[in-house]
Amino acid sequence: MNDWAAKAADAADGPLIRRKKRGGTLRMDWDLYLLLLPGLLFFIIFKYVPMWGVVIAFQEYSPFKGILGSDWVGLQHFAKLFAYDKFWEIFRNTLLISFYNLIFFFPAPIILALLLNELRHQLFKRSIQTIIYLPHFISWVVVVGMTYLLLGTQGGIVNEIIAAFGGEKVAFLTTPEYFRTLLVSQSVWKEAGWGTIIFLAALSGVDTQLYEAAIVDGAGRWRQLWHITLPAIRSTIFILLILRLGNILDVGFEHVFLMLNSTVMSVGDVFETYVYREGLIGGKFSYTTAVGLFKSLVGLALVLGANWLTKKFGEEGVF
Amino acid sequence: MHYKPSLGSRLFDAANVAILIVFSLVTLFPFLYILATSLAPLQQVLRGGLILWPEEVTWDAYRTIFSNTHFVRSLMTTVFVTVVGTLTNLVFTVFMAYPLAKKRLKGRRTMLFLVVFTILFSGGMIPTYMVVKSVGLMNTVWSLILPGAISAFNLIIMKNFFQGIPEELEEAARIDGCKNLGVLFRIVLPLSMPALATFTLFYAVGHWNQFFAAVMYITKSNLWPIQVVLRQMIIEGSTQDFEVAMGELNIIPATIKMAAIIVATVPILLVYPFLQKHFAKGVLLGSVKG
Amino acid sequence: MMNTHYAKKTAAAGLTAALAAATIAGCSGDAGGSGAAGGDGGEKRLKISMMYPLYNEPPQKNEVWKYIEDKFNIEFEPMAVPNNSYEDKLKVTLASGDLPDLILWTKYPDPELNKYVAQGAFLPLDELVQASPNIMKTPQSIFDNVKIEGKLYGVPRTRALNRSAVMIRKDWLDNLGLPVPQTTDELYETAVRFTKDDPDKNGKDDTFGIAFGENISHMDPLWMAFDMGAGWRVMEDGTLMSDSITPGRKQALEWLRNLYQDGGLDKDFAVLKNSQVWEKLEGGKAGILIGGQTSDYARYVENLAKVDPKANLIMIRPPKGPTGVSGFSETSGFFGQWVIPAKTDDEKAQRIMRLLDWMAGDEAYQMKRYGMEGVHHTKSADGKITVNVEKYKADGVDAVIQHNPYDPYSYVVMTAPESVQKAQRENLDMVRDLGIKNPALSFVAPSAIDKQADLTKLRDETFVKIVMGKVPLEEFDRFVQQWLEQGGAQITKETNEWYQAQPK
Repeated sequence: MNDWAAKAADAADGPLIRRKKRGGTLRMDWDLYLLLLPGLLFFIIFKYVPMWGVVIAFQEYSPFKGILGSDWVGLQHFAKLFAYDKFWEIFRNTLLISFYNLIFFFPAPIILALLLNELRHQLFKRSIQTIIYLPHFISWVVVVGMTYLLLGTQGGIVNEIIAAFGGEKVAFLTTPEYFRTLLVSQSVWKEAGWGTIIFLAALSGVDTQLYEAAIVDGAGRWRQLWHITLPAIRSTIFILLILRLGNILDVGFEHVFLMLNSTVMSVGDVFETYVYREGLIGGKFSYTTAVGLFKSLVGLALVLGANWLTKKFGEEGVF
Repeated sequence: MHYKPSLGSRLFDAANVAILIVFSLVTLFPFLYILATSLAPLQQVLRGGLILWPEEVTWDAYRTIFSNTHFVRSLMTTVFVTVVGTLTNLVFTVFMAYPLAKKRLKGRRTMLFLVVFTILFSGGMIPTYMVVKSVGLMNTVWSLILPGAISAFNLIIMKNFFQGIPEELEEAARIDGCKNLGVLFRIVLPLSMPALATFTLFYAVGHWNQFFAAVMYITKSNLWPIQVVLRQMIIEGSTQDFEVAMGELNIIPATIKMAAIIVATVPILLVYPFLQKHFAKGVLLGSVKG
Repeated sequence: MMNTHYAKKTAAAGLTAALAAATIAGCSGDAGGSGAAGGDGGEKRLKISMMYPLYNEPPQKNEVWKYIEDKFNIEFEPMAVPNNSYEDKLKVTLASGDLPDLILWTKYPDPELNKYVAQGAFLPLDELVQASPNIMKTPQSIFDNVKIEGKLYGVPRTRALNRSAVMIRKDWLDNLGLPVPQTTDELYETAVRFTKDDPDKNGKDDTFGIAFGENISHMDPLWMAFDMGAGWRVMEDGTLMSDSITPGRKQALEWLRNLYQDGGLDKDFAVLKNSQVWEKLEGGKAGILIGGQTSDYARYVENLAKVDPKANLIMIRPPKGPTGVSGFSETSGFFGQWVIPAKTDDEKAQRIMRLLDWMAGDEAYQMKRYGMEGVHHTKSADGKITVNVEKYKADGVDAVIQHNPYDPYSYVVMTAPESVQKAQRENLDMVRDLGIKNPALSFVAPSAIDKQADLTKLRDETFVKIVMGKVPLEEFDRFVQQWLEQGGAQITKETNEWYQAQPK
């Protein structure tokens, strides 16, 4: 292999190379542990101390009685969840939306970042970067409102155009078949630009000399991409993917809630909207917590699996 | 760079530019809509439909917002929280990410797992509230800073960036007599500017947009950050939980709603362009040579 | 349960003693002269905190606030919480055990509240309320709605029992030479003509009849016209049937379905949120809003005038259905009730009640609406009041006083033009007796806690599909079967048992 490709591979393997070093000495690193201290304290106080709240899922919790005063019901809430006749429908809806997101939404910032990376005109590149991340700052309420203005049947712009050309108006918002596509498209539009930031940061760490060496060697754009650019963001992609899998059953409550209406319940009702509905009538703290716990457990299983898999493929996992 | 680009290469460039321009237009246009609506006279807005250009630039909506004393006060609160908060975030996160980036650290895997665990599992709203309360942070701006001092997600990614810094550089510094802390400040951080810029942006935006934490932990309205005040300004009673009409009705024109969005987002938008210079390529170049 | 019983007993005993002591103390207090408004406070300066949802400007430490502190000898702490996070804030506050002295409980009916009452969380207020003259002016039916197990645990924050309005564009009617519709049939015709015959005469096909939104919102008077029942309907045999499955409901759905097909309804209704529905009316797209609110009328008129100066929106009587029935479902008559934590001692409880009672009186009402004279408003010689709106809003005066007397005209918007206020007053008069009561308003069936969410989901999905023509009308009968099987029958049974047990 050529020199520059090897160098690029080396750089990308940076996180892995350290494996070669053995024997940590506690002496040398007591100051490292000191550095860790504030962060550890933070996690203990604000993340692990409140964790006891998880036991609410096994109780019939009443805020007034508190944890110690509330009755224990064991796995009753989980049984109720699995016995719910629409459980599989909700599970399926949630998973499908998540998969659509993984296939279409997850790669979008990566592709955008790579495209931006190929630009040579710096001012143009910076302008585009700034513009495409604007939608991240717009709330879902506004986004869904605008979606209606575009795709509604009564006065929606797209439909008016269709009608002007003699076509039939399409009920985009009340047809189940369009729901997932709409949802993912909105997500891509809103968050893809923001998502490029991390990848651009990773790409800016790439040694430009590698590109120059590659060109001298006669490597075309594709070879450069494959051997230099992609390896630089490889580890970032894997980490983000694993973490994303951890939240597989979370699809963005506010977004889905706003897009949901009676005609698309069969495809759009997800765990979060289900839990919200249930909570409207009578607290249901424990049941809600149980559902959340279930989601977290599924996420954990996936993270553990994905982490193990990435390590098998010689990559650095998340832990 | 001196080379003759192939035809394929040039076509690709052209297509690239075209795609990016299209995508930019698609992402820009709703913002234009919001901006235009905020500057448009009320009549135009009420007639409905998509507005891309105000018939007549009217600053009324902005005037209303900026003359609101709560708003101005909340702006100062938010600026404080954003600046101090982001600094706090960076310090905490960097101090934890750097040691965790060293593979030789004992207990590293366990600690990383415990960190990732918190991304998946959480005690929930009530226990967290009770902890924040017992630590004495209620009704202080610190309740918006400390309980979120580290984002586990950001921590993991920052650790990954630190791991990408070549060993040789750290070795060289150690030979020169640097201890771990020295390496951190003299080598690692300067080389991690893109990562630091990224997380500065992430944390700053996070603080700027804080809403829920403020509602939970701050009952004194004069300590409210900007998002709480703005949302209160544009709220409209629904027919269900109707409440208003005690002598004064809140008629919130869409113009004010849109102006509120612009005011809520433009300041933080301006942070990114300033950070962009850290995203330039070849940051490592000089140091490898040296 | 022993604890609550014991607590109630001691509270009652303590209360009588305290009342006696207070009467005596009151006398000597007056003689001594305790400053400002004279003896409404006690000897000891107490701290009183009030938690409630905030809908507009947060309260600032202004003259009204100080007046309250002086008058009642308290340190006053209003805890205004942004309203859309109020429920969450309430939860954490309850869990933390650190309760404010006065809490507005917004959800109604709320099985959670009933649970907390059973757990002894809140004070029974019957006797305290009896001793509060202003609060006692509340209509008895509203008190009855609030009672839990026959006792009063909350002071209802009263609202008019009926405040809805049916609104229509009179100018459109005139343009098309149509009379004001009085029956559902006439309404049907009018709606279709509003869509098809260019009633705003602008040459464009951009109008339609009736505005309404997701889950068939804003349709209350129409449901009533078909005698569907308000929540529950007393059937001919004296039992209650849920309004989800009454024959009247089916007839109304048929009416809606036909009208949707004939174009008289907003084709996008299924995705519209409330504010989007109102925008259709305000923007001159829709000609009729059946389930509107009297207070909103002021805003609609103001906004419409900006879009179409010739617009003339009026409020009319609700339409009569095929059996001659018309009206609105009557509300509970209050929005939120004030509860007091059970751990509050007697002296404090009384001071709280005195504060609340004052807020339910005329002096407080005036102050709430206009602020302090000389600071927030000026009064001319002939009694006309001019409010300094900026200062009024900046000080958050409206939010300082969170309780009010019973005022059926509270929905008249004071800042609207005289003609609008007059129309609102007239409408409120007209609808006052047109309320159709829900016989089981305060009751939540035990099995509803688990089943209601799904039943509502099923109902909304089915009804929307029927109206949109996605399923045939006969689907309703299938729905009734499913509704009964999936828990509706059980809920009906429990509700009827409760209903039969009520004193008539």
